[in-house]
Amino acid sequence: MFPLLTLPRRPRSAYNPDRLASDLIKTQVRHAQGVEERLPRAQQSGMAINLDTLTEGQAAVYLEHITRISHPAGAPKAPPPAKPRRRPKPTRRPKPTRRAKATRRPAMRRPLSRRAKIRGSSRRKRARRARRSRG
Amino acid sequence: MATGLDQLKHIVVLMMENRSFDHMLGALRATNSAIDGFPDDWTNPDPTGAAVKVQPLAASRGQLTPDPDHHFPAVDKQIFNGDTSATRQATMQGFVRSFYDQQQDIAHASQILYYFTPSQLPILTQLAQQFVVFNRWFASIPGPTICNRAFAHYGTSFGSVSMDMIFLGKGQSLYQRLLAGGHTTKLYYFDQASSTMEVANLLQNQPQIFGTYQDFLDACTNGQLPDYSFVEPNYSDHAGPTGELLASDQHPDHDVIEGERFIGSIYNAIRNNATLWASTALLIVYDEHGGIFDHVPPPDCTPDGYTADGTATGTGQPFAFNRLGVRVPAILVSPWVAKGVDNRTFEHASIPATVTNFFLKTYDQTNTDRTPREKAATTFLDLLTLDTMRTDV
Repeated sequence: MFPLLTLPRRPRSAYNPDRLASDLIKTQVRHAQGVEERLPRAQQSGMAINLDTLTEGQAAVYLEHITRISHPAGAPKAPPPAKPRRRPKPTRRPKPTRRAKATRRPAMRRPLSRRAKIRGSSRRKRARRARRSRG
Repeated sequence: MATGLDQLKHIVVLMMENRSFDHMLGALRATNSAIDGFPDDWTNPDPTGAAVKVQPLAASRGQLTPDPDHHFPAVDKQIFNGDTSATRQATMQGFVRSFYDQQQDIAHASQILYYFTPSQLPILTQLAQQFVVFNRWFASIPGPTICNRAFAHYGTSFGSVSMDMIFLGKGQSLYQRLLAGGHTTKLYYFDQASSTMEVANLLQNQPQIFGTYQDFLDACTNGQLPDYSFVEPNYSDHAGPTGELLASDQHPDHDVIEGERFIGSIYNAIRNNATLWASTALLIVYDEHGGIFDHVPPPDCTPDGYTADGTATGTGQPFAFNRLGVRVPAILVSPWVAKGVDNRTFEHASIPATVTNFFLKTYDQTNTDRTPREKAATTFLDLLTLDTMRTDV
Protein backbone atom coordinates (compact mmCIF):
# COMPACT_ATOMS: atom_id res chain seq x y z
CA MET A 1 0.00 0.00 0.00
CA PHE A 2 1.33 3.42 -0.97
CA PRO A 3 1.26 6.22 1.52
CA LEU A 4 -1.71 8.55 1.24
CA LEU A 5 -1.76 12.31 1.59
CA THR A 6 -2.73 13.63 5.00
CA LEU A 7 -5.54 16.08 4.44
CA PRO A 8 -5.49 19.41 6.28
CA ARG A 9 -8.19 20.02 8.85
CA ARG A 10 -11.56 21.15 7.49
CA PRO A 11 -11.99 24.94 7.88
CA ARG A 12 -15.44 24.61 9.45
CA SER A 13 -15.69 28.28 10.38
CA ALA A 14 -15.67 29.10 6.65
CA TYR A 15 -19.14 27.64 6.18
CA ASN A 16 -21.45 30.43 5.02
CA PRO A 17 -24.45 29.43 2.89
CA ASP A 18 -25.69 33.03 3.28
CA ARG A 19 -22.74 34.30 1.24
CA LEU A 20 -23.98 36.12 -1.86
CA ALA A 21 -23.65 33.95 -4.94
CA SER A 22 -20.71 34.72 -7.22
CA ASP A 23 -21.10 35.51 -10.91
CA LEU A 24 -20.19 31.90 -11.55
CA ILE A 25 -23.07 30.53 -9.49
CA LYS A 26 -25.47 33.12 -10.88
CA THR A 27 -24.53 32.00 -14.38
CA GLN A 28 -25.11 28.40 -13.40
CA VAL A 29 -28.54 29.36 -12.04
CA ARG A 30 -29.37 31.30 -15.23
CA HIS A 31 -28.45 28.25 -17.29
CA ALA A 32 -30.60 26.09 -15.03
CA GLN A 33 -33.48 28.52 -15.49
CA GLY A 34 -33.13 27.98 -19.23
CA VAL A 35 -33.44 24.26 -18.63
CA GLU A 36 -36.45 24.77 -16.36
CA GLU A 37 -38.31 26.78 -18.99
CA ARG A 38 -38.41 23.69 -21.16
CA LEU A 39 -39.73 21.46 -18.41
CA PRO A 40 -43.42 20.54 -18.08
CA ARG A 41 -45.17 22.84 -15.61
CA ALA A 42 -45.54 20.06 -13.07
CA GLN A 43 -41.76 19.68 -12.87
CA GLN A 44 -41.02 23.38 -12.58
CA SER A 45 -39.78 24.59 -9.22
CA GLY A 46 -42.08 27.57 -8.77
CA MET A 47 -39.17 29.25 -7.00
CA ALA A 48 -38.78 32.99 -7.51
CA ILE A 49 -35.08 33.72 -7.95
CA ASN A 50 -33.71 37.20 -7.36
CA LEU A 51 -30.16 37.10 -8.71
CA ASP A 52 -29.27 40.35 -6.91
CA THR A 53 -29.84 38.84 -3.47
CA LEU A 54 -29.26 35.17 -4.27
CA THR A 55 -27.21 33.35 -1.64
CA GLU A 56 -25.18 30.19 -2.15
CA GLY A 57 -27.61 28.23 0.00
CA GLN A 58 -30.61 29.40 -2.04
CA ALA A 59 -28.81 28.65 -5.31
CA ALA A 60 -28.02 25.16 -4.04
CA VAL A 61 -31.69 24.45 -3.30
CA TYR A 62 -32.71 25.57 -6.78
CA LEU A 63 -29.90 23.78 -8.59
CA GLU A 64 -30.67 20.60 -6.69
CA HIS A 65 -34.26 20.74 -7.96
CA ILE A 66 -33.24 21.13 -11.60
CA THR A 67 -30.38 18.65 -11.41
CA ARG A 68 -32.59 16.03 -9.76
CA ILE A 69 -34.93 16.20 -12.74
CA SER A 70 -32.16 16.09 -15.35
CA HIS A 71 -30.11 13.48 -13.55
CA PRO A 72 -32.13 11.52 -10.97
CA ALA A 73 -29.30 9.02 -10.68
CA GLY A 74 -27.30 11.68 -8.87
CA ALA A 75 -29.55 11.60 -5.83
CA PRO A 76 -27.71 10.82 -2.62
CA LYS A 77 -27.65 7.11 -2.02
CA ALA A 78 -29.93 6.01 0.79
CA PRO A 79 -27.91 4.88 3.77
CA PRO A 80 -27.93 1.09 4.23
CA PRO A 81 -30.96 -0.10 6.23
CA ALA A 82 -30.31 -0.05 9.92
CA LYS A 83 -29.83 -3.48 11.48
CA PRO A 84 -32.68 -4.46 13.83
CA ARG A 85 -31.69 -3.64 17.36
CA ARG A 86 -31.05 -6.68 19.49
CA ARG A 87 -32.22 -6.75 23.04
CA PRO A 88 -29.14 -6.41 25.14
CA LYS A 89 -28.16 -9.68 26.73
CA PRO A 90 -28.51 -9.71 30.48
CA THR A 91 -25.15 -9.14 31.91
CA ARG A 92 -23.77 -12.10 33.71
CA ARG A 93 -21.40 -11.84 36.47
CA PRO A 94 -18.15 -13.49 35.53
CA LYS A 95 -17.59 -16.78 37.29
CA PRO A 96 -15.36 -16.19 40.22
CA THR A 97 -11.96 -17.65 39.84
CA ARG A 98 -10.51 -19.96 42.40
CA ARG A 99 -8.43 -17.15 43.76
CA ALA A 100 -11.41 -14.89 43.91
CA LYS A 101 -13.39 -17.60 45.70
CA ALA A 102 -10.63 -17.96 48.22
CA THR A 103 -10.56 -14.30 48.94
CA ARG A 104 -14.31 -13.80 48.73
CA ARG A 105 -15.80 -12.23 51.74
CA PRO A 106 -18.31 -14.50 53.41
CA ALA A 107 -21.90 -13.43 52.88
CA MET A 108 -23.20 -11.26 55.62
CA ARG A 109 -25.35 -13.33 57.92
CA ARG A 110 -27.71 -11.96 60.41
CA PRO A 111 -27.00 -12.74 64.02
CA LEU A 112 -28.44 -16.08 65.11
CA SER A 113 -30.83 -14.62 67.62
CA ARG A 114 -32.39 -12.38 64.95
CA ARG A 115 -32.68 -15.30 62.50
CA ALA A 116 -34.47 -17.40 65.06
CA LYS A 117 -36.79 -14.57 65.88
CA ILE A 118 -37.74 -14.05 62.29
CA ARG A 119 -38.09 -17.75 61.67
CA GLY A 120 -40.26 -18.03 64.75
CA SER A 121 -42.35 -15.10 63.72
CA SER A 122 -43.12 -16.59 60.32
CA ARG A 123 -44.05 -19.89 61.94
CA ARG A 124 -46.46 -18.11 64.18
CA LYS A 125 -48.00 -16.29 61.21
CA ARG A 126 -48.47 -19.54 59.31
CA ALA A 127 -50.09 -21.15 62.32
CA ARG A 128 -52.43 -18.22 62.71
CA ARG A 129 -53.41 -18.37 59.03
CA ALA A 130 -54.07 -22.11 59.34
CA ARG A 131 -56.31 -21.62 62.34
CA ARG A 132 -58.28 -18.91 60.54
CA SER A 133 -58.81 -21.07 57.50
CA ARG A 134 -59.97 -23.97 59.61
CA GLY A 135 -62.26 -21.84 61.71
CA MET B 1 5.85 2.68 -26.36
CA ALA B 2 7.04 3.48 -22.84
CA THR B 3 5.99 1.05 -20.14
CA GLY B 4 3.86 3.68 -18.41
CA LEU B 5 1.86 4.28 -21.56
CA ASP B 6 1.41 0.52 -22.01
CA GLN B 7 -0.06 0.37 -18.53
CA LEU B 8 -2.25 3.45 -18.88
CA LYS B 9 -5.97 2.72 -18.81
CA HIS B 10 -7.50 5.78 -17.15
CA ILE B 11 -7.12 9.53 -17.50
CA VAL B 12 -8.64 11.70 -14.78
CA VAL B 13 -8.87 15.50 -15.05
CA LEU B 14 -9.72 17.57 -11.98
CA MET B 15 -10.49 21.16 -12.91
CA MET B 16 -10.48 23.70 -10.08
CA GLU B 17 -11.54 27.35 -10.19
CA ASN B 18 -9.96 30.76 -10.61
CA ARG B 19 -6.41 30.84 -9.25
CA SER B 20 -3.26 31.81 -11.12
CA PHE B 21 0.04 29.93 -11.29
CA ASP B 22 2.07 32.54 -9.44
CA HIS B 23 -0.57 32.92 -6.70
CA MET B 24 -0.59 29.18 -5.91
CA LEU B 25 2.76 27.75 -7.02
CA GLY B 26 4.98 30.77 -7.69
CA ALA B 27 6.70 30.63 -4.28
CA LEU B 28 8.07 27.15 -5.06
CA ARG B 29 10.69 28.83 -7.20
CA ALA B 30 12.58 29.68 -4.01
CA THR B 31 13.33 26.00 -3.41
CA ASN B 32 13.23 24.75 -7.01
CA SER B 33 14.47 27.24 -9.58
CA ALA B 34 13.05 25.11 -12.41
CA ILE B 35 9.55 26.15 -11.36
CA ASP B 36 8.82 29.40 -13.14
CA GLY B 37 7.42 31.47 -10.29
CA PHE B 38 7.45 35.28 -10.20
CA PRO B 39 10.80 37.07 -9.85
CA ASP B 40 11.51 38.24 -6.29
CA ASP B 41 11.21 41.89 -7.28
CA TRP B 42 8.02 41.54 -9.34
CA THR B 43 5.75 44.58 -9.10
CA ASN B 44 2.67 46.12 -10.67
CA PRO B 45 1.90 49.83 -10.69
CA ASP B 46 -1.05 51.14 -8.71
CA PRO B 47 -3.26 53.89 -10.24
CA THR B 48 -0.81 56.56 -9.03
CA GLY B 49 2.08 54.80 -10.75
CA ALA B 50 3.70 53.64 -7.51
CA ALA B 51 5.13 50.13 -7.61
CA VAL B 52 3.28 47.50 -5.58
CA LYS B 53 5.34 44.43 -4.73
CA VAL B 54 4.25 40.78 -4.61
CA GLN B 55 3.93 39.57 -1.01
CA PRO B 56 3.48 36.21 0.75
CA LEU B 57 0.33 37.40 2.47
CA ALA B 58 -2.43 35.44 0.74
CA ALA B 59 -5.08 34.26 3.19
CA SER B 60 -7.18 31.18 2.67
CA ARG B 61 -10.25 33.44 2.51
CA GLY B 62 -11.39 37.00 3.18
CA GLN B 63 -9.14 38.98 0.85
CA LEU B 64 -10.46 38.53 -2.68
CA THR B 65 -13.78 40.25 -2.18
CA PRO B 66 -15.43 41.34 -4.31
CA ASP B 67 -14.55 38.56 -6.72
CA PRO B 68 -11.72 39.99 -8.87
CA ASP B 69 -13.03 40.79 -12.33
CA HIS B 70 -11.98 38.23 -14.92
CA HIS B 71 -14.31 38.98 -17.78
CA PHE B 72 -12.69 39.67 -21.13
CA PRO B 73 -12.19 43.48 -20.84
CA ALA B 74 -10.73 43.20 -17.30
CA VAL B 75 -8.32 40.44 -18.30
CA ASP B 76 -7.30 42.50 -21.31
CA LYS B 77 -6.42 45.32 -18.91
CA GLN B 78 -4.53 42.95 -16.60
CA ILE B 79 -2.41 41.68 -19.48
CA PHE B 80 -1.86 44.92 -21.39
CA ASN B 81 -2.22 47.44 -18.54
CA GLY B 82 -4.87 49.36 -20.43
CA ASP B 83 -2.89 49.77 -23.65
CA THR B 84 -5.24 49.37 -26.62
CA SER B 85 -2.81 50.41 -29.36
CA ALA B 86 -2.10 48.20 -32.35
CA THR B 87 1.49 47.71 -31.25
CA ARG B 88 0.80 46.88 -27.61
CA GLN B 89 2.82 44.28 -25.76
CA ALA B 90 1.61 41.92 -23.04
CA THR B 91 3.33 43.16 -19.87
CA MET B 92 1.20 41.59 -17.06
CA GLN B 93 1.31 44.99 -15.36
CA GLY B 94 -2.39 45.74 -15.01
CA PHE B 95 -3.57 43.48 -12.16
CA VAL B 96 -3.57 46.10 -9.39
CA ARG B 97 -5.23 48.71 -11.59
CA SER B 98 -7.88 46.23 -12.70
CA PHE B 99 -8.73 45.23 -9.10
CA TYR B 100 -8.66 48.92 -8.12
CA ASP B 101 -11.47 49.56 -10.62
CA GLN B 102 -13.81 47.55 -8.40
CA GLN B 103 -13.39 49.43 -5.09
CA GLN B 104 -11.13 52.44 -5.76
CA ASP B 105 -9.00 51.43 -2.78
CA ILE B 106 -5.26 51.05 -3.39
CA ALA B 107 -4.56 49.01 -0.24
CA HIS B 108 -7.37 46.63 -1.13
CA ALA B 109 -6.28 46.42 -4.78
CA SER B 110 -2.72 45.55 -3.73
CA GLN B 111 -3.96 42.23 -2.35
CA ILE B 112 -4.24 40.94 -5.91
CA LEU B 113 -0.43 40.50 -5.76
CA TYR B 114 -0.53 38.31 -2.63
CA TYR B 115 0.66 34.74 -2.99
CA PHE B 116 0.59 31.56 -0.90
CA THR B 117 3.66 30.06 0.73
CA PRO B 118 4.19 26.33 0.18
CA SER B 119 3.33 25.50 3.80
CA GLN B 120 -0.11 27.05 3.35
CA LEU B 121 -0.93 24.65 0.51
CA PRO B 122 0.47 21.32 1.69
CA ILE B 123 -1.40 19.15 -0.82
CA LEU B 124 -0.65 21.13 -3.97
CA THR B 125 2.93 21.64 -2.81
CA GLN B 126 3.57 17.93 -2.22
CA LEU B 127 2.12 17.02 -5.60
CA ALA B 128 4.14 19.75 -7.33
CA GLN B 129 7.33 18.57 -5.64
CA GLN B 130 6.78 14.91 -6.48
CA PHE B 131 5.34 14.98 -9.99
CA VAL B 132 5.33 17.23 -13.09
CA VAL B 133 4.57 20.95 -12.88
CA PHE B 134 3.54 22.56 -16.15
CA ASN B 135 5.36 25.89 -16.33
CA ARG B 136 3.32 26.97 -19.34
CA TRP B 137 -0.27 25.80 -18.96
CA PHE B 138 -2.52 28.72 -19.92
CA ALA B 139 -6.26 29.27 -19.82
CA SER B 140 -7.64 28.90 -23.34
CA ILE B 141 -9.22 32.36 -23.38
CA PRO B 142 -8.37 35.60 -21.54
CA GLY B 143 -11.83 35.46 -20.02
CA PRO B 144 -14.13 33.76 -17.51
CA THR B 145 -15.06 30.22 -16.52
CA ILE B 146 -17.67 28.84 -18.88
CA CYS B 147 -15.91 29.57 -22.16
CA ASN B 148 -12.63 28.24 -20.73
CA ARG B 149 -14.19 25.03 -19.46
CA ALA B 150 -15.74 24.56 -22.90
CA PHE B 151 -12.25 24.06 -24.32
CA ALA B 152 -11.78 21.12 -21.96
CA HIS B 153 -15.07 19.53 -23.03
CA TYR B 154 -15.21 20.45 -26.75
CA GLY B 155 -11.79 21.76 -27.77
CA THR B 156 -13.43 25.11 -28.54
CA SER B 157 -15.90 27.59 -27.07
CA PHE B 158 -17.67 27.99 -30.43
CA GLY B 159 -16.76 31.67 -30.58
CA SER B 160 -17.77 32.62 -27.03
CA VAL B 161 -15.59 34.68 -24.69
CA SER B 162 -18.22 34.94 -21.97
CA MET B 163 -20.29 33.01 -19.44
CA ASP B 164 -23.43 33.01 -21.54
CA MET B 165 -22.93 30.20 -23.91
CA ILE B 166 -25.46 27.64 -24.86
CA PHE B 167 -24.06 25.53 -27.63
CA LEU B 168 -26.56 22.76 -28.05
CA GLY B 169 -25.92 20.86 -31.24
CA LYS B 170 -22.92 22.97 -32.25
CA GLY B 171 -20.36 20.22 -31.97
CA GLN B 172 -19.44 16.90 -30.44
CA SER B 173 -18.21 16.83 -26.90
CA LEU B 174 -15.21 14.74 -25.94
CA TYR B 175 -17.62 12.44 -24.07
CA GLN B 176 -19.70 11.79 -27.19
CA ARG B 177 -16.55 10.95 -29.14
CA LEU B 178 -15.44 8.47 -26.53
CA LEU B 179 -18.81 6.77 -26.19
CA ALA B 180 -19.13 6.49 -29.97
CA GLY B 181 -15.67 4.92 -30.01
CA GLY B 182 -16.69 2.25 -27.51
CA HIS B 183 -14.98 3.83 -24.51
CA THR B 184 -16.30 4.61 -21.07
CA THR B 185 -16.39 8.14 -19.69
CA LYS B 186 -17.98 10.14 -16.89
CA LEU B 187 -18.23 13.76 -15.86
CA TYR B 188 -18.45 13.74 -12.07
CA TYR B 189 -20.08 16.72 -10.36
CA PHE B 190 -19.94 17.05 -6.58
CA ASP B 191 -23.62 16.64 -5.74
CA GLN B 192 -26.98 17.74 -7.08
CA ALA B 193 -26.99 20.97 -5.06
CA SER B 194 -23.60 21.96 -6.45
CA SER B 195 -24.57 20.59 -9.88
CA THR B 196 -22.33 21.01 -12.88
CA MET B 197 -21.16 23.90 -15.02
CA GLU B 198 -22.54 21.88 -17.93
CA VAL B 199 -26.11 22.08 -16.62
CA ALA B 200 -27.52 23.67 -19.77
CA ASN B 201 -25.45 21.80 -22.29
CA LEU B 202 -24.41 18.26 -21.48
CA LEU B 203 -26.51 17.49 -18.40
CA GLN B 204 -29.94 17.92 -19.94
CA ASN B 205 -28.96 16.11 -23.12
CA GLN B 206 -26.57 13.40 -22.05
CA PRO B 207 -27.34 12.64 -18.40
CA GLN B 208 -25.88 9.16 -18.82
CA ILE B 209 -22.35 10.56 -18.85
CA PHE B 210 -22.75 12.12 -15.40
CA GLY B 211 -21.93 10.86 -11.96
CA THR B 212 -21.33 12.38 -8.55
CA TYR B 213 -18.22 12.72 -6.42
CA GLN B 214 -19.44 9.79 -4.33
CA ASP B 215 -19.78 7.74 -7.54
CA PHE B 216 -16.18 8.65 -8.35
CA LEU B 217 -14.97 7.49 -4.95
CA ASP B 218 -16.98 4.25 -5.28
CA ALA B 219 -15.61 3.65 -8.79
CA CYS B 220 -12.06 4.04 -7.49
CA THR B 221 -12.70 1.63 -4.63
CA ASN B 222 -14.42 -0.94 -6.83
CA GLY B 223 -11.96 -0.67 -9.72
CA GLN B 224 -14.69 0.58 -12.05
CA LEU B 225 -13.28 3.93 -13.06
CA PRO B 226 -14.11 4.80 -16.69
CA ASP B 227 -11.43 5.32 -19.31
CA TYR B 228 -11.82 9.07 -19.02
CA SER B 229 -13.13 11.01 -16.01
CA PHE B 230 -13.60 14.73 -15.55
CA VAL B 231 -14.17 15.86 -11.96
CA GLU B 232 -15.82 19.09 -10.82
CA PRO B 233 -15.46 20.39 -7.24
CA ASN B 234 -18.24 21.64 -4.95
CA TYR B 235 -19.21 25.15 -6.07
CA SER B 236 -21.17 26.31 -3.02
CA ASP B 237 -21.56 26.12 0.73
CA HIS B 238 -24.76 24.18 1.32
CA ALA B 239 -26.40 21.69 3.61
CA GLY B 240 -25.97 18.05 2.62
CA PRO B 241 -27.35 14.79 3.96
CA THR B 242 -24.32 14.44 6.19
CA GLY B 243 -24.21 18.03 7.40
CA GLU B 244 -22.56 21.25 6.28
CA LEU B 245 -20.71 21.01 2.96
CA LEU B 246 -18.06 23.58 2.13
CA ALA B 247 -17.32 24.80 -1.37
CA SER B 248 -14.13 23.10 -2.53
CA ASP B 249 -13.60 24.85 -5.87
CA GLN B 250 -11.18 27.51 -4.50
CA HIS B 251 -13.11 30.19 -6.38
CA PRO B 252 -12.60 33.44 -4.45
CA ASP B 253 -13.66 33.90 -1.73
CA HIS B 254 -14.09 30.19 -0.94
CA ASP B 255 -11.58 28.79 1.50
CA VAL B 256 -8.62 27.31 -0.38
CA ILE B 257 -8.04 24.74 2.36
CA GLU B 258 -11.27 22.92 1.54
CA GLY B 259 -10.05 22.82 -2.06
CA GLU B 260 -6.78 21.35 -0.85
CA ARG B 261 -8.77 18.67 0.94
CA PHE B 262 -10.73 17.96 -2.23
CA ILE B 263 -7.62 17.64 -4.39
CA GLY B 264 -6.08 15.36 -1.77
CA SER B 265 -9.20 13.20 -1.65
CA ILE B 266 -9.17 12.66 -5.42
CA TYR B 267 -5.49 11.73 -5.29
CA ASN B 268 -6.02 9.42 -2.30
CA ALA B 269 -8.99 7.69 -3.94
CA ILE B 270 -6.78 6.73 -6.91
CA ARG B 271 -3.72 6.03 -4.83
CA ASN B 272 -5.57 3.77 -2.43
CA ASN B 273 -6.25 1.21 -5.17
CA ALA B 274 -2.89 -0.21 -6.25
CA THR B 275 -4.17 -1.43 -9.62
CA LEU B 276 -5.75 1.92 -10.37
CA TRP B 277 -2.70 3.86 -9.27
CA ALA B 278 -0.52 1.92 -11.68
CA SER B 279 -2.85 2.54 -14.62
CA THR B 280 -4.04 6.14 -14.13
CA ALA B 281 -2.79 9.61 -15.05
CA LEU B 282 -4.30 12.44 -13.00
CA LEU B 283 -4.20 16.01 -14.29
CA ILE B 284 -4.96 18.75 -11.76
CA VAL B 285 -5.61 22.05 -13.52
CA TYR B 286 -7.42 25.37 -12.94
CA ASP B 287 -9.91 26.76 -15.45
CA GLU B 288 -8.62 30.36 -15.39
CA HIS B 289 -6.68 32.79 -13.23
CA GLY B 290 -9.66 34.57 -11.62
CA GLY B 291 -8.16 38.05 -12.07
CA ILE B 292 -5.16 37.18 -9.86
CA PHE B 293 -1.62 38.13 -10.87
CA ASP B 294 0.79 36.13 -12.98
CA HIS B 295 4.03 37.32 -14.55
CA VAL B 296 4.18 35.25 -17.78
CA PRO B 297 2.63 36.90 -20.86
CA PRO B 298 0.18 34.57 -22.63
CA PRO B 299 1.50 33.47 -26.03
CA ASP B 300 -0.21 33.39 -29.40
CA CYS B 301 -1.93 30.19 -30.44
CA THR B 302 -3.54 28.53 -33.43
CA PRO B 303 -6.92 30.18 -34.06
CA ASP B 304 -9.93 27.87 -33.90
CA GLY B 305 -11.81 29.41 -36.80
CA TYR B 306 -14.10 31.67 -34.76
CA THR B 307 -14.10 35.40 -34.12
CA ALA B 308 -15.83 37.25 -31.28
CA ASP B 309 -16.82 40.76 -32.35
CA GLY B 310 -16.04 43.94 -30.43
CA THR B 311 -19.41 43.93 -28.70
CA ALA B 312 -18.99 40.38 -27.49
CA THR B 313 -15.49 41.04 -26.15
CA GLY B 314 -16.58 44.28 -24.47
CA THR B 315 -13.39 46.03 -25.60
CA GLY B 316 -14.63 47.30 -28.93
CA GLN B 317 -12.00 45.12 -30.58
CA PRO B 318 -12.69 41.70 -32.12
CA PHE B 319 -10.89 38.63 -30.83
CA ALA B 320 -9.81 35.86 -33.21
CA PHE B 321 -9.00 33.26 -30.54
CA ASN B 322 -5.37 33.55 -31.52
CA ARG B 323 -3.99 34.30 -28.04
CA LEU B 324 -4.22 32.30 -24.82
CA GLY B 325 -5.44 33.41 -21.40
CA VAL B 326 -3.43 33.86 -18.21
CA ARG B 327 -1.29 31.01 -16.87
CA VAL B 328 -2.86 28.60 -14.37
CA PRO B 329 -1.52 25.89 -12.05
CA ALA B 330 -1.35 22.43 -13.63
CA ILE B 331 0.25 19.24 -12.32
CA LEU B 332 0.41 15.78 -13.89
CA VAL B 333 0.38 12.93 -11.36
CA SER B 334 1.37 9.38 -12.21
CA PRO B 335 3.85 6.83 -10.89
CA TRP B 336 5.24 6.72 -14.43
CA VAL B 337 6.40 10.37 -14.59
CA ALA B 338 9.70 11.68 -13.32
CA LYS B 339 9.36 14.60 -10.95
CA GLY B 340 10.19 17.90 -12.55
CA VAL B 341 8.75 20.55 -14.82
CA ASP B 342 7.55 20.79 -18.40
CA ASN B 343 8.22 24.01 -20.32
CA ARG B 344 6.10 23.44 -23.43
CA THR B 345 2.90 25.45 -23.97
CA PHE B 346 -0.38 23.78 -23.00
CA GLU B 347 -3.95 25.01 -22.74
CA HIS B 348 -7.32 23.42 -22.05
CA ALA B 349 -7.69 22.18 -25.64
CA SER B 350 -4.74 19.97 -24.72
CA ILE B 351 -7.20 17.88 -22.69
CA PRO B 352 -9.49 16.67 -25.51
CA ALA B 353 -6.45 16.52 -27.77
CA THR B 354 -4.62 14.19 -25.38
CA VAL B 355 -7.62 12.02 -24.55
CA THR B 356 -8.71 11.71 -28.18
CA ASN B 357 -5.23 10.94 -29.45
CA PHE B 358 -4.74 8.28 -26.80
CA PHE B 359 -8.09 6.49 -26.84
CA LEU B 360 -9.25 7.22 -30.40
CA LYS B 361 -6.07 7.07 -32.40
CA THR B 362 -7.75 7.13 -35.81
CA TYR B 363 -10.49 9.62 -34.92
CA ASP B 364 -9.57 12.20 -37.55
CA GLN B 365 -9.66 9.61 -40.30
CA THR B 366 -13.43 9.39 -40.02
CA ASN B 367 -14.39 12.66 -38.29
CA THR B 368 -13.94 16.31 -39.16
CA ASP B 369 -15.28 18.04 -36.05
CA ARG B 370 -12.01 18.74 -34.24
CA THR B 371 -10.92 22.37 -34.53
CA PRO B 372 -7.48 23.35 -35.82
CA ARG B 373 -6.86 24.67 -32.32
CA GLU B 374 -7.42 21.30 -30.71
CA LYS B 375 -5.44 19.45 -33.36
CA ALA B 376 -2.51 21.80 -32.78
CA ALA B 377 -2.66 21.60 -28.98
CA THR B 378 0.28 19.95 -27.22
CA THR B 379 -0.55 16.63 -25.59
CA PHE B 380 0.89 15.49 -22.28
CA LEU B 381 1.01 11.71 -22.07
CA ASP B 382 4.54 11.63 -23.48
CA LEU B 383 5.57 12.58 -19.94
CA LEU B 384 4.93 9.01 -18.83
CA THR B 385 8.46 8.09 -19.75
CA LEU B 386 9.66 5.81 -16.98
CA ASP B 387 10.33 2.14 -17.69
CA THR B 388 9.61 1.12 -14.14
CA MET B 389 6.94 2.41 -11.84
CA ARG B 390 8.09 4.77 -9.11
CA THR B 391 7.94 3.39 -5.61
CA ASP B 392 9.25 6.52 -3.91
CA VAL B 393 5.89 8.27 -3.94
